[in-house]
Amino acid sequence: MSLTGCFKSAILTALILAVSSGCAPIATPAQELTPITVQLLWTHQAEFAGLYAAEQNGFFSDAGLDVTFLQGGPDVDHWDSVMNGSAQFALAGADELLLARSEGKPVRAIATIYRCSPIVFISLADSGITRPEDFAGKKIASPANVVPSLHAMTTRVGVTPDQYTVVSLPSDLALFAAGDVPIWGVYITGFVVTIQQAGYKLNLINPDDYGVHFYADTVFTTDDMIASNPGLVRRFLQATLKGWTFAVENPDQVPGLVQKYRPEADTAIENAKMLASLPLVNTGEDHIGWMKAEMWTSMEQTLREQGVLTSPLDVTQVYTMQFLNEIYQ
Amino acid sequence: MRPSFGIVLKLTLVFALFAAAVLITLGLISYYSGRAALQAVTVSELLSTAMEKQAALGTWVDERQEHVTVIAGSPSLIDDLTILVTGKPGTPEVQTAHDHLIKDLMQWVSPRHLFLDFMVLEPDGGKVIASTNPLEEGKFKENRPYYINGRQGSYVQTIYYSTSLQAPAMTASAPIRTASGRLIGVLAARLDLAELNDIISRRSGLRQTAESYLVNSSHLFVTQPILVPDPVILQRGIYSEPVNRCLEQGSGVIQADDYRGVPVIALYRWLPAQDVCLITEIDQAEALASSRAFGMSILVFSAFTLLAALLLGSWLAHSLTRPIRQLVHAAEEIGRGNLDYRLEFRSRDELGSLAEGFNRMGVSLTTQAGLLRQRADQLETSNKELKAFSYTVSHDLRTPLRAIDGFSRILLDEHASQLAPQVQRYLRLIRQSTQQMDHLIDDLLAFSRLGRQAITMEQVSPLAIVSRAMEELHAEQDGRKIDLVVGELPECQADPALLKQVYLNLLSNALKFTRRRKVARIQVGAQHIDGQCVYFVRDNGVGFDMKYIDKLFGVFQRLHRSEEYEGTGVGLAIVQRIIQRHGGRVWAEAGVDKGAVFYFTLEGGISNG
Repeated sequence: MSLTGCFKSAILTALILAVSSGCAPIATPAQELTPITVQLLWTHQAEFAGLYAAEQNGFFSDAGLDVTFLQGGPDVDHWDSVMNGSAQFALAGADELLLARSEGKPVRAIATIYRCSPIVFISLADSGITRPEDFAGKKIASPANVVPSLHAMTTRVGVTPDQYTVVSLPSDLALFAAGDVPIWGVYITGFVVTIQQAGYKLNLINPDDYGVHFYADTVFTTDDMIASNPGLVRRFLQATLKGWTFAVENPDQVPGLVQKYRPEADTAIENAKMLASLPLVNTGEDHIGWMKAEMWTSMEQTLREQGVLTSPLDVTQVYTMQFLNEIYQ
Repeated sequence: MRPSFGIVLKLTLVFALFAAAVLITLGLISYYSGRAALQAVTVSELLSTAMEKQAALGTWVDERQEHVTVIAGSPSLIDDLTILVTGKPGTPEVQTAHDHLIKDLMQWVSPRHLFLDFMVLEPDGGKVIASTNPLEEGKFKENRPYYINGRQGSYVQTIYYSTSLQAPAMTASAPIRTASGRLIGVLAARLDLAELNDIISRRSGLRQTAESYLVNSSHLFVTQPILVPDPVILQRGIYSEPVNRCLEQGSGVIQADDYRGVPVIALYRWLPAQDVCLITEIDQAEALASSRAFGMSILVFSAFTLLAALLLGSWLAHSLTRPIRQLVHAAEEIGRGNLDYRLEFRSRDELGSLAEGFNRMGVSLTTQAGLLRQRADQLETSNKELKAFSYTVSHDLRTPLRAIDGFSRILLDEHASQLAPQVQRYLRLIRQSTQQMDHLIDDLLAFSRLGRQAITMEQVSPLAIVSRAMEELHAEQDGRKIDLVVGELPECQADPALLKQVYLNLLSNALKFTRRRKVARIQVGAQHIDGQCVYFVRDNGVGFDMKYIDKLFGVFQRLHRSEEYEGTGVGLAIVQRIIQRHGGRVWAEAGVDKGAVFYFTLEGGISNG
């Protein structure tokens, strides 16, 4: 190559570099970022730390995914977005999933984050409400995903759902303190922390003590998604679980992560929430996200015994170990 | 001349380097082996502590289990429970049995606090029908391992995280059977882990930073680590290297950072019986402190030793070089001519013998010098005598010669008419001979003068001298074809008069011995041989046989018959004398009938002052 030829190509290269450095990073042609929407169960908080960690640390983008989160809340039906296709993944309690499947919704669980349920029913310490038996004739504030546990628990001690009223309320401290609704179905990793940090003493009624052992926040998607895009599902789940591992190993970074999505989140409260979540996510058994067949079976059985499920359900339709096996092999 | 990289420096450096190398090697070896030994001791200390704690833990758990089993077998408990399960709920006797049962159990709850609480569970369904903690009554524990296994036999549920307590818990259980063996309940007791905490974290010995703690498979602290008294740490997971390894691989020792980020030597032990990891660790700084001190002292010792080595090396070098310096000085003195200088140095080593030898050499030199002086004196004397002799003789010889020559001339000039032609011829012959003798005497005189004459050296141009010499020799050149080639003659330091004499003699010879040639070719020039300036005079004359070369420069030595070539035979001797006085050398090369070349230098020979 002649000297002028070398010179020219050098100039050209320099120009290209100059131009491209000024531009936003272009995705490599091999992997475009696929836009994905994830429906969260409730408002932005430490409960979803693993997902935030995956997003902020680039685990999702490394997997070729551009993830958007949809908040849940008292006015949000966290099933809507998945059902109408605007979200590809969502979180729900395992009990909800069993119910949904029995209603014919084509949903399937791919991993469960909270293998111990954080669901707990609280009342102010001086209210005298310490057992499920005391729920009869009361108003209970409970989000939709908590309701199956509520029913299962009360039925176990002989109190039927028609004996109490369920209302849906935002996690508002003042509302709780007011005492109009004496019993709240909340997460021990969520609203309970807020209330306890505010100095209130609580009675805790744990469904786990009444034969109700459910997986809580479970990651699910549609049958369709699994069939048509298994690679994407696996990549999403892998990044999510990586994010959860990071969150479990670095709990002090979680408040910072939450504040990226809800800037007004209180650092101390989110910190306490995360610490409370640790043993529920990282139970010491198996791996983060792992599901056990016998749990699904006993959950189905419990729901049937409590009358929540009206007819037997083939649990193998409700969940799949396919992706967990792939990721953790 | 003071050497720039002398022996003192060399020796000192060698000493220092050697000492340094040895010290460094030994120092490192001993430091690291000391450190390794210390580490090994520390690890075995940690191991014995860990094993002790493991045993204590095991014993403690076994004791509790045994205790619960015993309580589960106590007759009053069985009686109360029998009433409780068989009687109608709500009746007073059932209530009494219930309360009595609880009162019984309470004695084990306080004040020794071995158990936090007791629960009695229904054999089917796991419902808590009696508990020392009233809140627990009515709850269902059907999925708890302590219930499931406690139905069959004594059991301890290894440390798990209790969500209700939000803390680690351990529960021992045992079946409650009637005398006939019918299972009427399961007794479950939650162990007070405070004592366990004490067992594990209890420190033995004086180590400041040694501690042990338990971590469960969820990476959570089960016991409180001493060095971080804040209980908040119990909630956070611990993901330090020792814990990670323990939960993955079982047991071992590692040097890594612990949960505080401090480097420690950690012995981790997986306890399968209790499903926990026991970590026994000590700060590396403390464990290896004495090795650090050891290392420091090695360093200090090495520094001092190095210093001592330097000093020793320097002293040794000096003591070795002192005699050498003395020798150098002595050699210089002797070189300067002070032949009486003797060395005082007396030692029994090689330097001593060198000094002795030197002294002997000095003695020999002195003696020889003395001899030489004697000889020189003798020579001087004889030379003087010779010179005087030759002077007076030639002078004395001259006088009668004058007479002979003079009277002969008078006879010839004034009495020619009275003399027959033959007589005149004889007189003329007499005159010739006297003149010849006169020449001889002149030459002798000149030769002897040479010995006494002062020589004044100055920068001269041989070129000018050669031309003057040739002018003086014009008589020889008349009527002949002379081809004289004078080449470059570099200036030199010489006595101009004497140098002229040299050229006169050489050129006169050249002219004389080329007489028979049609064309006399004479070449005068200079060459550089071995860095010296060598002047030469070459002719194409009759030459001489090289086998007579030794006679060539001898006084009165003639290689040719006087009939062929006249001359006194002193010319070359004079040349040699002059050249020698200049400190040069003269030599010649020739062949019979092949011409001759005479070379001379004006320096580089032995000066003959």
